[in-house]
Amino acid sequence: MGIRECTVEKLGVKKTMTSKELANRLRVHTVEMAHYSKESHVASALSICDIVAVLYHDVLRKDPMDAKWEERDRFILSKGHACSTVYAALAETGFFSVDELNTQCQDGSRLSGHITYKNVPGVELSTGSLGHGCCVAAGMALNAKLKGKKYRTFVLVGDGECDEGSVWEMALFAHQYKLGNLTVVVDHNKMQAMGFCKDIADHVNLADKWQAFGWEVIEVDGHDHGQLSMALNKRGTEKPVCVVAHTIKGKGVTFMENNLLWHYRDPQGEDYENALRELRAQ
Amino acid sequence: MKKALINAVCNLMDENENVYMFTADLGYGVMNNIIENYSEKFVNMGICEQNMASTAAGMAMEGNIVFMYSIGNFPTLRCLEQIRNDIAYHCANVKIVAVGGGFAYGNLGMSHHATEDIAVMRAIPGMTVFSPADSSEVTAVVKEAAKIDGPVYIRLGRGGEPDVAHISLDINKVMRIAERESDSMKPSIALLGTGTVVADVADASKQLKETYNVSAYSIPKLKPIDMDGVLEICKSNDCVVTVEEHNIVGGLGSAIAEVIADNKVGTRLIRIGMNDQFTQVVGSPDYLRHYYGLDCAGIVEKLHKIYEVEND
Ligand SMILES: Cc1ncc(C[n+]2csc(CCOP(=O)(O)OP(=O)(O)O)c2C)c(N)n1
Repeated sequence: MGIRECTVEKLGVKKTMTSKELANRLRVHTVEMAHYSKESHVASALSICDIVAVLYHDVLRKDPMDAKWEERDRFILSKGHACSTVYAALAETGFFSVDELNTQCQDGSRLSGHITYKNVPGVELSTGSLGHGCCVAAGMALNAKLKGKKYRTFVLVGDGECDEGSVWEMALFAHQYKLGNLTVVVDHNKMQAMGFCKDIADHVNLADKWQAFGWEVIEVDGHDHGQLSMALNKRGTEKPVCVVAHTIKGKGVTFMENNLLWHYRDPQGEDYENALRELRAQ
Repeated sequence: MKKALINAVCNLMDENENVYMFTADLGYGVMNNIIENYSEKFVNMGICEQNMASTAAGMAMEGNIVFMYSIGNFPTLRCLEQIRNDIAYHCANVKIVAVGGGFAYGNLGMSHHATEDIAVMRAIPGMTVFSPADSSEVTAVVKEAAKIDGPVYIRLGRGGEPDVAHISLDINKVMRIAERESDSMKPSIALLGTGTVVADVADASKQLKETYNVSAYSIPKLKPIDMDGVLEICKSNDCVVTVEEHNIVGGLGSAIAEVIADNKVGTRLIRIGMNDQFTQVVGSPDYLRHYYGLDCAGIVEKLHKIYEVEND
């Protein structure tokens, strides 16, 4: 059972919606959510809209009517600050109402500014401190391997997040235990919180690093749905898979692209209108 | 508070060429003064809190004073063993700065709510712990921290905290912010607050005047605590109330309880804080303080209830 069948059959989401259209909806939602919440990280969220859209549209086996379905694929957002994209994907695919999205971060809301599993159907893990989610994902993958379960585990990490030592402890572990059922997607937008990664903690070549840890590495254009779908649908045999997705932080809103300001700023006034206008024209 | 901190650190850098600022990829906008004017004293370690803590220890052991900066739980809990073994055990001259103690990043969720940090830092031998309430306290704390040859933890709010009207300002002491009446038949209570809740404590002290003979204090230095000052308060009041944006386990309330127990004083103590729980909702800091009863209204309500029950 894929998400598409679920949503189409049970929830009546338009059958014709492509993953591209879904990605664009996610972009509009993330910009609106940042506008209403007045919180940071809109560019970090725009960076992953294509990855998340392809995951939910073409890859993850989920049932929105049964969020805890045992056989579901696990998906963890390790860069939890980009949660608006995932909340939006969950709402668009029927886990909860789209109307709730714009309550994010408001007083009393269940949708916090870093992803939370508390009371939010479809979210596997609360994150927000970088370098945790990927390790918990390895635990879920280990369970599947030890118990002979079919589900796959996906985790989305930031490239700045890959500064954290825990990421590489997990990389050693998943290779050692041959977790071919685990896929790490690195959102490689080349930026982190204070600037470009190469100016802060230069990874030199991230793909080489994951390869050197014994992982199967697939490099893709992180905004190309065909490439993403191929890579994400590829199940590892013995080696865990790392999809290094080359992305643009702020993708889709020209004035936010590769502009550090939009790690922090929330779109208001003209910026907000211009952003929506550009996205709606896509 | 952030601004006051950076300005105070810049002043130290002017006086001492061995003062450094480390960050784990945070401080956008905040660090501008240091990045522009003291660029060789500024090190962005990347998102690597554990390495930051140990590297800071190494620099400190070579004779430097290192401020290490991040937000919420990242510069404390994330690198706790590095702080314990490398910094504290070696008495390294590292000043750990956490921006966003308590609910300062309320909307951002559980990972960004820091409500156990004081307890954890207080438990580390040799660690001095400060939790200033406003910019004037921050400036004084940074000066004081630089005088201490060893590890210091400084817990800040996020910025925009209202100024506290101190009657006395000595950062090492309990600092009075509201006086009680000289002769009154009402039961006497002392409200003790630390950090970002002190403004609410000051407001509450005004609202409780009808029922109680109230005094209020800001306690920015939680370890070592001003034992004499606390004892005097305990001995001269019917009841002492602590308020903190922190778990009631291990924070200000616990520190006062320790003083009371160690000195065999029988003062009644009421601890207001997070009741050994994680936050379950998000919202602005004001919203969360209200939700968990740590704001002025919450303090007043709790104390009125107690009064009603006991004077029924
Ligand atoms: C342990 C930890 N340290 C610091 C932070 C603060 N922080 C939030 S986002 C961010 C930058 C993350 O960069 P990256 O992983 O590349 O994601 P991007 O937003 O650039 O897509 C930082 C340092 C955090 N959330 N967790």
